[in-house]
Amino acid sequence: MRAEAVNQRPSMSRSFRRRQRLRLLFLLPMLVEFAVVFVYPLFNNVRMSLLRYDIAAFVSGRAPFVGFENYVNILGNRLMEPTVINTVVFTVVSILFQFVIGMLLALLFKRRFAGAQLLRTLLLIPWLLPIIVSATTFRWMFDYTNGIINQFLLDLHLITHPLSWLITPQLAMVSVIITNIWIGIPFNMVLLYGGLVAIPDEYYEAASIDGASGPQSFWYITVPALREVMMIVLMLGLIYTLKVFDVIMVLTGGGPADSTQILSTWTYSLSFRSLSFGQGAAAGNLLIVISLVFAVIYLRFSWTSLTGARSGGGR
Amino acid sequence: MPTRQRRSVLLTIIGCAIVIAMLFPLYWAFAGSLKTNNQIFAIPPTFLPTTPTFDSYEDAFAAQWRALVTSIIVSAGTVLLSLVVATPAAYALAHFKFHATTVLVTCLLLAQMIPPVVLANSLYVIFNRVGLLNSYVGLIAGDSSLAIPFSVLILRAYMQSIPPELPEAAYVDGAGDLEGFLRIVLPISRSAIITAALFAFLFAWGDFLFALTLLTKPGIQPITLSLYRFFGIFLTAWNRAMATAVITSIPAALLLVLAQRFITAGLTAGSLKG
Amino acid sequence: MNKRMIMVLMCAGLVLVCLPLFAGGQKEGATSATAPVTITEMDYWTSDPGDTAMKNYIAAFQTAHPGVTVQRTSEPFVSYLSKALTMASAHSLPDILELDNPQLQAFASTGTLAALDSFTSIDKSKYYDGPLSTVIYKEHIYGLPVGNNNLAIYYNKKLLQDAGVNPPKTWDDLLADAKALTKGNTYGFAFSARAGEEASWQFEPWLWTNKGDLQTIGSAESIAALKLLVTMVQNGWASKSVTNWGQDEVEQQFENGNAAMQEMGPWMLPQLAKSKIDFGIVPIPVPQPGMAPVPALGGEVFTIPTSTPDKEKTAWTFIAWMQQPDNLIALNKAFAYIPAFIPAAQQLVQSNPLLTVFADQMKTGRARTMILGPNYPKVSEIVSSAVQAALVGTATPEAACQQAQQQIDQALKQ
Repeated sequence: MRAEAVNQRPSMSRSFRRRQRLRLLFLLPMLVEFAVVFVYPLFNNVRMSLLRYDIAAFVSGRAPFVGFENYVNILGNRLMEPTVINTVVFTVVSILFQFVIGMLLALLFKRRFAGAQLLRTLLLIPWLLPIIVSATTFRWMFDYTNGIINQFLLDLHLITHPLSWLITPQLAMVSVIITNIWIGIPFNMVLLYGGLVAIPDEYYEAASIDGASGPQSFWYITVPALREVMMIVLMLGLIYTLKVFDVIMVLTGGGPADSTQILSTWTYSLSFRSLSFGQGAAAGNLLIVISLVFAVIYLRFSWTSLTGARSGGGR
Repeated sequence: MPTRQRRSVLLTIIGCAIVIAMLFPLYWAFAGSLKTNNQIFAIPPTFLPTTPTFDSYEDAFAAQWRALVTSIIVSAGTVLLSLVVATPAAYALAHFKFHATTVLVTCLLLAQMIPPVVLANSLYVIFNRVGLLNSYVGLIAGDSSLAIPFSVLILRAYMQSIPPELPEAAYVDGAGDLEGFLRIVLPISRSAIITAALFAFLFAWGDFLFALTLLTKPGIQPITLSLYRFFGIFLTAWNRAMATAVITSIPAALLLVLAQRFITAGLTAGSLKG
Repeated sequence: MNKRMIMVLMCAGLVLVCLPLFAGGQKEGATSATAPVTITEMDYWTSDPGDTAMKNYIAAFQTAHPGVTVQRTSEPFVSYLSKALTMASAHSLPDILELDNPQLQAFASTGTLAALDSFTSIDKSKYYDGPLSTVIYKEHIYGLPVGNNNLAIYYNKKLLQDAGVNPPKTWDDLLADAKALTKGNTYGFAFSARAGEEASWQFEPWLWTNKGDLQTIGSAESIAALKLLVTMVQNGWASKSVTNWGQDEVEQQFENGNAAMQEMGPWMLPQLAKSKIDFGIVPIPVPQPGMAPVPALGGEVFTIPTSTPDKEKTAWTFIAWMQQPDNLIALNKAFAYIPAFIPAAQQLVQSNPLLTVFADQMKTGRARTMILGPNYPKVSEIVSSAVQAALVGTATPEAACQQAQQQIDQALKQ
C-alpha cells in the first residue's frame, strides 16, 4: 500500500490543487455578491464621513474633504453620550430577554405534547406582520389614555394611575424594548429549536441512564451541542438589534426629547431630518465599528470551537 | 402512565397560555381592523369591537390581491436565489480549509452591519445604471443581498456539526466534493435549509426599504409598499391598514404551516446518528 | 433529494424568476413617430383625498393638452425626501417634483431644480407673501405653490357652552378655557408635539405670534411661548400624550370629545364634517389683544427638476395650468387648503365660510424657511427636541431653550 501511495503522490497533489480550485467555486457566487453589493456602499459610507456632505453634495457627489471633522463633531455632540448609552441598554436588554425566552420556548416545544407543532407554528405569526403594523399596534396598546395595557393594569388593580409608557423617558425606553423583545422572540426560538432537534435523543437517554437530572443534561449536553447555534444566534441578534429602526420610529420617533434615540435612528435623523449627511455617515460608521468589536469577539470564540473541542459528549 | 398524560396536558395548557399572551397584539390589530377610526381611539378602549364592521376588508381585498401575488413572487425568488448561493458557500466555509475563512466570515458579519439605508441607496445607483430598477429580478436581487450573508452564517453554524467523515464517504466511490455535497450534505441539512429558507422568505416578505428604493414607478408593488398607501400625510385609515395586514398575513401563515411539516419530515429522514 | 429533483427544482426556479420578465415588465411610455410627449411626475398623496384630486387634475390636463401624457408616481410621505434625494443623486428625478414647502429651499440649493423665471413672470401682487417666499430662492422662482394651510383653534361648541366659556382670543383666555374645560376624560386642549417636524410645526404659531423665533429660541419671548404649552400640560389641561401624538391622533381626540379644543389645520374639515361634533374655529390666540396671529405655513409646491428644455417646457405647462383659478380651486377644495393666489382664495372662502379664519391667517402667516432657508431642517430638529424636553419635564423651558440656542448657534456655524 505504501508503494501505491508513493506512486500516487504526484497525481494526488495535482488533483488536490484541482480540488481546491473547484472548492472555490462553492464560494464564487457569494463572493460576486459581496463585490457588487457590499464593497461599494461600505467604501462610499466611509468616504462620505470624511467629507463635508451637505444636501448639495449628496446630490452632486462632490464635497470638500474635511478629514475627521465629522467624527469630532459627532463625538462632541451632546446627544452622542445618551445615544450610545441608549443603544447599549436597548441592545443588551432586548437580546437578553429575547434569547432567554426564545430558549425556554424552544425547550418547551421540543417536548412532545398535544398541539406542540400547531402552537409552535402559531408563535411564528408575529413575524408575518409588517413591522409598521406591529409597532403601531404596540403604540396603541401603550397609549396613556387609550391604551389597553393601562386598562388591563387598572382593571387588575395593579396600578392606580395610568403609566406614562411612551411619555416619560425611562418608560418610553421600556416600551420600546418590550416591543422589540416581542418582535425578536420568534427569530430566537426558531433557530434554537432547529438546533435542539438536531441533538440525537440517544445522548439524553444515555445521560438519564447515568442518572443525570434535567438541569444537568441541559448544561452538559444541550449547551455544548448548541454552542455554534447559540453563538450565531447571539451574534446575528446583536447585529440586527443594532440596526433596529422602524420599531422606534413608529413608537416614539426617537423621542420624547431623544430619550429613545439609538445610533441607528440618530444616523437617520442626522441624515434625513437635519440633512447633515456627513455626520450621519460618521454616526453610521461608529455603529459599524461597535458591531465589528463584537464580531471579533464572536470569531475568537468560534475559532476555538472550530479547531478545539468539538461539541459535546459521546462521539 | 397517567403522570405522562397529565404532564402532556399541563404542557399543552402552558403552551396555550404562552401563545395567547404572545399573540395578543395580533388580536389587537385584528380588532382594530373591525373598528372605525374613532373606536380605535376611544377612551376607555374596548376589548371586543362593539360594532364590528368588515368594510375595511372589502377595500383591502380589492386593492391588495395583486400586491399579494407580487410579494409571493419576490419572496419565492429571494428564497431560491439565496439558497442557491448560500448553501454551497456555507458548506465550503464550514468544512473546507481555506486560509481566508476567518476573513470571509468577518466579511459576512460586516456586510450585515452596514445600515440598510446605505445599502439600498447604493443599490439604487447601481441598478439605475444597469436598468434593473422596477423589475422583479432587481427586487429579488436586492432582497437577496441581505438574505445571503444571513443564510450563509446560519447554515454554516448547522453544518459545522456534521462530522467531516460523512461527506468524505462519498470520495471513496471516486466522487468529488460536489457529489458529496449534493448527495450527503444537502439531505442531512434539510431542516437547516428549510430554516434558512424561512428566514429568507420572511425577510423578503417584510421588506419595505429595498422595495421603496428600487421601485420608482407604479406597476410592481409588494404588500409592504401598498400598505403604506393607507398612511396618509394627515389622516391614516388605520382600520384599512390593519385589515390589509391581516389578509396578507394569511397566505404567509399557510406557507409557514407547510414549511413546518417539511422540517419534521426532514428530521426523521436526516438526523445525525452518531 | 436526488439529482433529478434538484434539476427539476432549479428549472422551476429559473422559470419562476424569468416569467415576470416576459410578462408585464416595465415598458417605457410608448412614444410613436409623431411627437406625443410623456412627462413623469412624483408626489406624496398616496391616499385620498389628495390621490383622487391629483388623478382628476391629470386627467383634465391630458384632455386639455392632447399629445401630452403624464405618468404619475406617488410615494409614501414618510420616506419621500430620502427617495427624492436618492433619485437626485442618481440624476433620475421625475420631470415634475412635488415637495413639502419647507423642503424647496434645501432642494434649490443643490442646483437640481430649474429656475422658472424665464417661463413667466407671475403677478406677485396677486399672491400671498408667505407662500410666495417659499418658492423663491436667491431671488429666483423655483416652483409654484399648489395650496397652503396653517393652524387655528377648533373648539367643541357644546362643551364650551356646558362649561360657560367663550372661545379664546388671548393667551389668558386659552389657559382659563382649557382649565374650565378639563373634566373627567376630557382635556381642555390638544395639540401635537411628536418628535420631528410636527412638534416644531405646532409650536411655531405660539413662538412667532409672541415675536420669538427659532434662531433666537433663547430669548424671553421664545421661552414664554414654550411656557404657555408647558403650563397646559403640567396642569393637566392638555394630555401628557401630546409628545407622542401626531396630528391625526389629536384629531381623533377632538372627534371623540376627549379634547374640547384642538390646534389643527383646514385639511381636517372634510373629516370633521362626517363626525357629530358641532364645532367652531377661531384664530390662534394672541398674547395681548391687538397683536396678530403668526402661524406657520403648510402646503405643497410643484417644482421642475432640470432636464431637457422640451421636457422642462412641458412640465411648466403642467404646473402653470394648475394655477388657473378653476383648477386651483378644484384642487384646494379637495385638499381643503387655501390657494396662494388671492382671487382664487377669496372665491373658495365664499363657497366655504369655514375656511375664513385660515384664509385670514394667510396674510400674517409665515413661511418656515423665510429666515433660515436651507438651514431650516436642522434648526427645526433642535427646537423640536427642546419643546419635547420641556413638555416632558426633563428640562425647564428656560434650560431647554438656552441649550437649544447653543446648539443652533453651533449648527449654523458648521
